[in-house]
Amino acid sequence: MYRTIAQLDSITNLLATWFPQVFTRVQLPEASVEGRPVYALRMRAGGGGADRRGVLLVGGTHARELMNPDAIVELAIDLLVSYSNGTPVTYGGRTWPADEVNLILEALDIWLVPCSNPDGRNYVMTVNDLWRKNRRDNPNTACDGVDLNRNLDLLWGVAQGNTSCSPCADVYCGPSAFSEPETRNIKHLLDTNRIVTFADVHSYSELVLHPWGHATTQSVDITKRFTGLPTGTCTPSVPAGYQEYMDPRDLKRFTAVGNQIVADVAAVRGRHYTRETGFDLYATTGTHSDYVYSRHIADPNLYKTYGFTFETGPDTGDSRTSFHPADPTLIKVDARAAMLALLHESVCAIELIGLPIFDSATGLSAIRRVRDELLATTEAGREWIALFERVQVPAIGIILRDEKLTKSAADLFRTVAQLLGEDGSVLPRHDAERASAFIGELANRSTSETIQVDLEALRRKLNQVAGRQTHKVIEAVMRRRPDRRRVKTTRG
Amino acid sequence: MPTSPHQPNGGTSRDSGLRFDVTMPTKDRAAAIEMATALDLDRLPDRDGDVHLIATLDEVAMLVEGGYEVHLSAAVHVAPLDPALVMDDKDSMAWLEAQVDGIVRQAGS
Repeated sequence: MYRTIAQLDSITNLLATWFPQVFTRVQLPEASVEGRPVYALRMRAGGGGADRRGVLLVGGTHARELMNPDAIVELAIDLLVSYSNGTPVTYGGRTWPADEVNLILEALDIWLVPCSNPDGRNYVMTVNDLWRKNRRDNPNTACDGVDLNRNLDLLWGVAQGNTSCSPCADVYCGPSAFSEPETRNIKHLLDTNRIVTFADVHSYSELVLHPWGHATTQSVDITKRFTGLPTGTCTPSVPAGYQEYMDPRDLKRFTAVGNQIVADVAAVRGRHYTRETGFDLYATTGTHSDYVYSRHIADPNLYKTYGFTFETGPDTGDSRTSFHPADPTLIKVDARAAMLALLHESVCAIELIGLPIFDSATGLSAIRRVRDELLATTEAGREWIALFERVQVPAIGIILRDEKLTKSAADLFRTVAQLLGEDGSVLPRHDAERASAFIGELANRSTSETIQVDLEALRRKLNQVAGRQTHKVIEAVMRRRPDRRRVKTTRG
Repeated sequence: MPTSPHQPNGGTSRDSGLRFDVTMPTKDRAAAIEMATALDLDRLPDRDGDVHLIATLDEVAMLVEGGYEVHLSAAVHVAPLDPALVMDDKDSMAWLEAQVDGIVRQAGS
């Protein structure tokens, strides 16, 4: 069963009315082409400032992909129930413990746009159940609609592969970039919030897509950037053989997060989603996920946003039942797992522990500089970053439950920032031992073998570098990957 | 923002009449995609890696005239979503109430 636009709007309205401590509903600046309001629902819990990391999840971009708006409001309720009752979120064989859900809600601003294209959804339910676009009246043609996922300002109007300048095409990019109110609403959310991760949730094919969509991706030749390519040509103007550059750390992050999402979905009931670039599916331009990631490249003053496209549900071999199966229940569970996995991967430990203990962002900047300007430049360094990103949420969940561990984490954080801020500093053996004992305690309390292995690799490295100059420690980390040998823990 | 003139193809709306689920099982996938793109056909993902389209009878004829083998797997009438798949307002509300049962609500709401 699928909800009508009125039902989706009613649910977001009631959630914001009943539970204002968790939900705020915002009417986006522009009504749809046919004049319907478009709503975003913000979820957050706990206190904290306005400048939280934001995650934006968008559904219903393509009208006929009916499952995802429903899955998004259902995810919102799952998170509310978990937070309110202190219960885990369990989808089949995958469970997110209550303290990790708490952490997600208390660390992030979760922006949900269940249905960005309400006119299209209404049209699917009342006229044509395979309608894809919005309901724009295209002048001087018999054909209506713009494909909202071709209308964004990233190589807009480059008509290659699955993008067209013909109003009669289902992949019509519109008369100009952001010609449509529905896409301008998404841009508004990106412009006014610090969105660090994004997913546009589509159907079908069981895919987790990430940039780039207009060409294959490479991390070698930095001169190959979309900013040098023509737009609005209405021809396939991306040169043959062109490969778009992506910073290797970003590619690593897309890969790691995408793989984690795939693993979490598989754990639910064994569905095997595939992670790949958008281009691997088919060539596109002007899509949401590419645009959101491209923003910080086109304008370095903007935040970097990791943009994904999910394609939920299998190909049944029949278009109608692939887009809207008679019973989408299990597919929606997979979709909710994918979205929750992305939320989980969006929490940043450095900000969570660091911000409360530093008066300014200076201490954080030193740590971020080492991460982004040194570690990220080598394959081994990027492996260490990936390891840290893997362990951070479970580790923080453990730390914040224990006052002593919280204090230890803050002390260690201060020590690290201090060492990085002093020329010629040395990592004192007693500090390394303190950190090693702290990590050992986290490993003992963790229930995940993967996390235990990661933490042990970290501890092993600390023991190796104790007493060395800080810059030598960084060099050692940049040179050698984590040693992830399995170990026995003291846990029973 | 970049803008560009429309390229009205003089085509017809696919929003009426009968269409078909079409697959083009071809070794020359790139050429088939090029043909489908040239005709502005609605291209769908395909589990077997074939070129999968929704096309009108006229468009199917053009593909065949272009030398392609096409398989029609289903007729796709333009029709609203099966009403049996649309949730009832009462069911939607009852579902929400059941989900949040026991969670303290804002006073007066």
